[in-house]
Amino acid sequence: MLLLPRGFSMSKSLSKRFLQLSVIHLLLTAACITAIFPVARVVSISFRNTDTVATSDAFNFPPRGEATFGDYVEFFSQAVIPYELFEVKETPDTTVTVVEEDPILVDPDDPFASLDELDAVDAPRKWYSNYTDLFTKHLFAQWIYNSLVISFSAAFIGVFLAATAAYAFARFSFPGKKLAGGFLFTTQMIPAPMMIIPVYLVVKSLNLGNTYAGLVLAMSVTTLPFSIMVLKGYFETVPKSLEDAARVDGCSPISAFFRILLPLSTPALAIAFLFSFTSAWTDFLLASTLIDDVELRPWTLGIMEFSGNFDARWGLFAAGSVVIAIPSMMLFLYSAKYVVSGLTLGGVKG
Amino acid sequence: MDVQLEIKNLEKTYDKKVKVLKDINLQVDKEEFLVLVGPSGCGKSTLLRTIAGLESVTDGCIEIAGRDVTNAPPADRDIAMVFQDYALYPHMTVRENLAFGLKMRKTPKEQITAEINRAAKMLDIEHLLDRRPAQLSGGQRQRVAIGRAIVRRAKLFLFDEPLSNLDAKLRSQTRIELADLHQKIHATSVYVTHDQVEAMTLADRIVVLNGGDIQQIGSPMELYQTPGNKFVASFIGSPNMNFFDGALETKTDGRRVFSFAEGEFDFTNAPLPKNDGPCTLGLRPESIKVLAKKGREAEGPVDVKVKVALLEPHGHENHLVGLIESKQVIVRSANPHRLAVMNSSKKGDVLEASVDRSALHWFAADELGERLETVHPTLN
Repeated sequence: MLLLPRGFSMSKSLSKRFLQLSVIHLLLTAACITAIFPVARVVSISFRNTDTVATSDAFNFPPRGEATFGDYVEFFSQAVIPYELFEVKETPDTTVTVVEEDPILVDPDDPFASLDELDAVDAPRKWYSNYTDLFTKHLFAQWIYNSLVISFSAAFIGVFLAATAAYAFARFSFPGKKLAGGFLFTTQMIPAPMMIIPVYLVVKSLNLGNTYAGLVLAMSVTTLPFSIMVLKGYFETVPKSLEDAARVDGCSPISAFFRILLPLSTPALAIAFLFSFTSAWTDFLLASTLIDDVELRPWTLGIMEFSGNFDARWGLFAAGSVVIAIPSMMLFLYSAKYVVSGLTLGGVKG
Repeated sequence: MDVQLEIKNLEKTYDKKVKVLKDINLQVDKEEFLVLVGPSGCGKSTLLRTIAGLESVTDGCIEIAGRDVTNAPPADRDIAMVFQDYALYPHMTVRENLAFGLKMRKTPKEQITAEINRAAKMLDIEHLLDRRPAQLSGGQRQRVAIGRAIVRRAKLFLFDEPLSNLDAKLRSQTRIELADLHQKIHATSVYVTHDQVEAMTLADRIVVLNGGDIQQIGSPMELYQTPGNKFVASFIGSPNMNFFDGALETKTDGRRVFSFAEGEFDFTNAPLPKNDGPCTLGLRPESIKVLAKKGREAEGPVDVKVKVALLEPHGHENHLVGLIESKQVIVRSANPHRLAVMNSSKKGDVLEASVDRSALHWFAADELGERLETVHPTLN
């Protein structure tokens, strides 16, 4: 009410409107908090020492006994804000004691001596240690690299195959077209876990088990039906006369496809690409079935190493989650500009 | 004159059932402007697309500049085509649109630039070269589409109803520009339209198609003055020709009379088919002349009385929809004296009219309605 301008007389309908708006905003705020809380929680954990996460009372929810509103506030703020990082601690002079207790024989000729030293010395824990540990003590960089290679290849190959197939569906009539289209639909209805064993057998029989290629093949194929449907729908909106014009201008049907149709279909291509990429980027099931080697693991498998049977290093796990979110977020932000329709407007009448 | 396009016994069948083109034979001379005209679904666009190579041919052969291209892809036919919906590439600028065909043919860069400048100047689109098609108006897009054909200097230009998406004013203006352009560059052109005004004004020769068959080929005036059959007669000319189904008979006193359900005409001294019998009379709207009160326009026999149903003033001329008993006829006149009579009439008035004996069209009474030869009575 205080926000209303001076001299503002509130009529009945206005006050009703005000109430309505308040309720809506309250609901929206609650929804936002619900959506943001888990993310904030993960970010906060990623800065914490694994021990403090595990022993924290933060998991005792809701606060027991006669909880006041303040208790709730404290609980949620503790969950999200890593207070302990801001406490000024006296840093014990651990380095010295360690060296005294366990002296290392430094061979002046050993080129790796400095590395040994590093291994032996447990660096003092910093607030960002979880992040540095990911890359120094674990193969996280390798896992991300694996995931990027696999996801990009799967997405590129998948989109290429989908585009060519969708072109055939959109432009040509061939025997069995309806049947094939319907069949593509039905494959979408089979739950992924049911396909795991057949996919494994196929990949194995191609001698592609435990390789990038096997995983890429399996991943690019699983998203094909969706991509084909998206692209076919889009291709059908592009006037056929454009391809006719290109063919009269000297294109073969294939070059007309690549020079005219594909550049015009960037919005649909971007959607298909993003879909293939994210489903490959976040895939766990296929990777866990087809990949054995630690060096070939995508991050989805690698990150599981942090939550073992006997200890769960949630700090590392959370830091890893934050890191892997960055590439996909960047990709989405970058491709947003391509996912604009209306590029075909103006080429033909209208 | 060299033959630039020759079509022999062309047939096109869809799905082994629907015959869209039936035994088409056609020759187009170099620098000629040929117009294919016909109602929608008559196969004119299909014929154009088979010439372009965008549709396959079931039977027959197509030669362009003496070379058999029946099975050649469109790219190898050295043709340029202007589409009904313009078909400009939306992701390219006007300049790139114009250059695309030349680029695909590996033309040197300097030549591409020169050709684009020449075409842009000719079409007055120089200021639009760096825009995209979406930023152009309909008329401008049409110019670019024509420009894309011009830069190619192709052996044959194909136009697929290029003006049908423009509004009426722009259409007549672009029509003039097209005619002007043809006089400048003398490109051999095949032009498809369903608009007989475009056909009449642009064509050196017109091909009238119906149901996949060529009905008649001839110059615009030939088609207008001596239509080969009832279909051509009804299709060419606006407003449509009036048809009277009836029979010609010779009376006992020697008079030759054409009688139809609603009346009869005494055509004793007119050029008529030799034989009596059932036939169809075609009268152009301007051949039925409303008689004025006085002067030259008052002369002539009163052949028919027309009851006014509707008057359509066009300014320079009037179209009058009238009734002879229950038969509807259209009468047109641009003569000021006749206009005065028409303008002063009201719905329901009965006007006297005379039929121009020199402009009678006679057709056989059968389904095809072929034109009947006439003989002048004085020559007998």
